[in-house]
Amino acid sequence: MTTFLTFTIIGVVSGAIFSITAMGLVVTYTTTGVFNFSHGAVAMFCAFSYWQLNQSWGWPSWISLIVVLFIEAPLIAIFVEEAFMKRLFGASVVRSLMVTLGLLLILVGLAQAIWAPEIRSLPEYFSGSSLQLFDVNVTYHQLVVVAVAIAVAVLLRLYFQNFRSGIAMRAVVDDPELLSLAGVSPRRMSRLGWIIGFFLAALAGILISPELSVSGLDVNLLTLLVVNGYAAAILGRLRNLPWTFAGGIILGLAESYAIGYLPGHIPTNLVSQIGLLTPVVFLFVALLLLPSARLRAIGRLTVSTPPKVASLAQSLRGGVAFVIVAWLATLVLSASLIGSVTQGIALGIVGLSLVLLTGYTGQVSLCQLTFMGIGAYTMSQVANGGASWWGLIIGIIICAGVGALIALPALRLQGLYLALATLAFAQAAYYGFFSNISFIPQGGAIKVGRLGIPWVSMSGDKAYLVFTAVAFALAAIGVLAVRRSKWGRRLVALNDSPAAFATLGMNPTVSKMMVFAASAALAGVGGILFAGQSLALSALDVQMFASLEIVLFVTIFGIRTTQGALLGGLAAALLPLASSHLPPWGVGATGIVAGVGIALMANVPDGIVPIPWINRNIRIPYLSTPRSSMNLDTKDLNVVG
Amino acid sequence: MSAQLLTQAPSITMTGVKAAYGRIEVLHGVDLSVPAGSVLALLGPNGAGKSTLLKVLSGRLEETAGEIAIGELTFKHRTAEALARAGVCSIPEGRGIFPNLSVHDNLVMWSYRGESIARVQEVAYQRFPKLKERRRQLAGTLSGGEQQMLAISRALIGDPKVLFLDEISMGLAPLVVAELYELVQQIASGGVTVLLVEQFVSTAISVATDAAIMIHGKIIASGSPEEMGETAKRVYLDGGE
Repeated sequence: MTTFLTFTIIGVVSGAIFSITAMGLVVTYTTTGVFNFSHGAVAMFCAFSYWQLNQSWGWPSWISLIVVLFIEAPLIAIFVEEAFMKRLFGASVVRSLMVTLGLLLILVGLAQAIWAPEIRSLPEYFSGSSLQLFDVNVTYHQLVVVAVAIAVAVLLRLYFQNFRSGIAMRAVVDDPELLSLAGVSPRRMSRLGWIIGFFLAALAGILISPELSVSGLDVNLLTLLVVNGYAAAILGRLRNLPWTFAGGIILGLAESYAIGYLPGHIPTNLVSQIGLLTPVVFLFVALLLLPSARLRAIGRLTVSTPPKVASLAQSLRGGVAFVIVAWLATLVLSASLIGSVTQGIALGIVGLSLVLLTGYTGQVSLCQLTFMGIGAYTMSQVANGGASWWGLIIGIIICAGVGALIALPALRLQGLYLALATLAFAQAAYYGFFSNISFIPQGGAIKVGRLGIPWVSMSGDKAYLVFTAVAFALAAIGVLAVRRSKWGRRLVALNDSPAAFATLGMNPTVSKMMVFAASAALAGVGGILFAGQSLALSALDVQMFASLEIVLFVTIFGIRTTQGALLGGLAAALLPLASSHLPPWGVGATGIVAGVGIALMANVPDGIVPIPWINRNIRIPYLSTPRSSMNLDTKDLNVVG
Repeated sequence: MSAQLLTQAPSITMTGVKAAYGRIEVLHGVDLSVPAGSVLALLGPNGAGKSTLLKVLSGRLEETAGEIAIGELTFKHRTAEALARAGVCSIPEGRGIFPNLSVHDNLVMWSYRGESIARVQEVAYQRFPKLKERRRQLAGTLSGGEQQMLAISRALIGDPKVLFLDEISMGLAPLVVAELYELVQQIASGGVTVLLVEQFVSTAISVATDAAIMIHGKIIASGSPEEMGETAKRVYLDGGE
């Protein structure tokens, strides 16, 4: 009984922190319409700042608290709103996702640059003081955490129900224009939404940090707090605050009981990961229980003019030209660069899988590198550390199967939920599988061979680069062919208006699942080629944040174009190389560069490749897309007529 | 921003006003004057730019050229919220309500113009007792007529001096339309400059003191309501100038 009580108390305490996180997410989402993926990153950044003030500089806790909660967090919120978010009102899910993901990478990059790795820990408040509750020791710190969470919940509820500005914050999501006609600036209201959200993120970050006594403050762990937050928020369908609060507590209890009672019932190698895996399981269960969302009825024009789709002849010519350029590159590049370029091209194939999925169909996946890892792992298993065409086929089948399975619970819901589910899956796969030493030996990697064709030796890096380039060209030609096909037109139609799609007698869910499976398979192929370059798959290759980076890079260069996929892949592979030449504070450079690209995203929703002046001035056959004749924004279209 | 306030019904003049959505120009140089305290009905076929004109006047869309004068107001940037606080009440096309807020919360939003929340409720519930019955209901679940009543109730609050109405009859039963326009007439008689856009010519000219016809983003004629009603019929049937 005492054990049970102990776990209950631990669960309620961590649940209280999840609740604060989740309520912050919900406040921002309901008032701005933007789901803030960087919520955990904000918590992380503020917790580190607090450590800096309180531990490193020795400021008293209360001053540090005031500075972080009431000065730093609001200032970051105002800056972020001013710099990026104000342009996102009414933007598509994909676009606003990308921008907050970029913000996540910026914050992670900054934190890595400012705080070099060392073990940092924050003491508990009132450390040492505790009281007895049914034979169980409860520290004052735990009591404070729970009390703060309850106070936050009650105050938020009161504020949104009874205060005029609270009601106005709910009104701004409904109809910002009408709010301005009633005499309120909608911008001010959504800025308030960001401020409250960031404040709560900072609060959660500071409260949870003393609990992380073993590893100390950890950039990744704290950033992942967002996963716990949205798992809890999903119980309130991202809207309802009381349910969100309950969701946080339930998640905390589930995690605590899982840690307490599951060991001994599950494979021992998973035990250490329970804490990270519980929210993922919780999330998927919650997604299954959620009622389906209504189909969006009205199609919307997401960008000015979609990039023109190359004809078969054009794409064949472009493919040949690309392979020739790749071959020429092998003649001039240094040996180390050849390896990275090969990996970049392989990542380009992963990029193509995003073109198919996100560019054409408007679905978001944040776990493409997980599929990449699954593909390579399968190859290693099937071919025993070597490579075979059978391995490729089986890898494709497994990736497609897993992809379909992951997508299924989320697909019947809105796009945002799919993104959440895939991020959760990426986390589960990384902590439960790829970084698990019983699957991939510690510190090392598993061997993966290179695919080859008869009579041609692939052992040379140059030959393998050309081979990978050929694979990319074939994949690009294939993706473009899909886009031109009847099925491709269906996918675009589905993206435009799911309701119209359904009324024409087609099943949106099946179509979405098929394209998700196809995209996962393509990412798997990219993974097999990627691992072939270094003859190994290491867990580091498939980290969650790397998955986010590739999505961002491809988006920055143009997620509807095959060229964007290639450039995005190359950037993801080559930038870390550049950052190794930078001083120590440059470690976060990749993230920061990817993140800064989001400033672009806010203005150039379709990426760099399709920008008209680039096409007008640089006319390479493969790179040419027609210039756009009109620049319309979604906002403008709603109002005509 | 200094707080500006209209103290009496102003006259409104537009000279050479142009406006565009992106690169598509919709108003090609509008000249229009609305005398102080009058009720001007703006007539014209679909797509003539009537709603756009109201958008520009209410500060929701910035004009690309031309001059706009609303009484003594001298805003550098006429933002919608500044105009609203100065006494310009604009009921937009469709339903001017927050569908996901309760009736009560909608009324709370109307109080931003400077009246107390209690006063807002008193005025609205007195004029539309039905709203009081439904005050806990989400506004989006009201009937079309009730939604429009809730929207129009904003014009009763804070003593506006200018009223812009954009097709308040849309999709409503004739009886409800008649009731709404009766109210418009009442408000107008209290010293308010009204500019209304209406598809039903006869409804519009029954309350209007002046009228103008708009086609292809320009005002092509203005005069007395009856006269304009005739002209409008002719123009509509001829399909253009």
